[in-house]
Amino acid sequence: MTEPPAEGSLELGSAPLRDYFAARLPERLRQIEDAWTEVRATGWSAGAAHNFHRLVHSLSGAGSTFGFPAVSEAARRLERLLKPVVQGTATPPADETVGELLAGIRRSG
Amino acid sequence: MKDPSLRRILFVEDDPDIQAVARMALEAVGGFTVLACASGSEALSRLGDFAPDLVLLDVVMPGMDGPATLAALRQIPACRDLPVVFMTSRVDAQDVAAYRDLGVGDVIAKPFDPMALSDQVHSVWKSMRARVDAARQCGV
Repeated sequence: MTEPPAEGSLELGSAPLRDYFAARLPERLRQIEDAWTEVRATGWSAGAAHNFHRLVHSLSGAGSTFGFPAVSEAARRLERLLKPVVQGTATPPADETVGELLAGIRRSG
Repeated sequence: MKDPSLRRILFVEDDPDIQAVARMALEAVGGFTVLACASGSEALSRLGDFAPDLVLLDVVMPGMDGPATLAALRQIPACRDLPVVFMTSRVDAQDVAAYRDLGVGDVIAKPFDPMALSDQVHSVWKSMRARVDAARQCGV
């Protein structure tokens, strides 16, 4: 997870929140990409899949809070795909499917 | 209507951005005293000194998640009846029913509007207290 925001770097109000999150988004996306790389490298190991899901889930919850509803929606689409996998009720999706949804998240930001 | 019996909130959230904005909103807009913790284990270790009126608890966290943290809280005699509200983006009817079975007082959905969060907290607090009062009157 990313470092906490620096003291005084965050203000309430729609414009400051958007600016703040816009600056944070590249790092969050990089973490998600790294987690996806780990998932593929470990053949969907439980730990890697949970971490990937958690990061996508967090982005889904954060986007709209900071004025990026398209980011939330795009992340939610991927989270819906991952949730049954980490719960053990579905098999892992194809890499291409995940890749397309990740691309959707990148475009949304 | 704000209830003066709700002043101290323990907020457990692993996402630093969400933690920061929610804490700021609860303090600046709601006037609450907030202790923010990044994990369930941190919350459990700092709980005693803070003595919260309410716990706002994220569900999906690394290590000890929301349900596991709630279960651990309920093992502490002084926290058996401590009001706990989950804050989560998992708010399907099935999920919410499962949270209630765990003993959660209510659920606040993510994403949330920072400027409206304090009002949401007061609203769920009022609902929870009303349910407790009704149960008392029924002798439950």
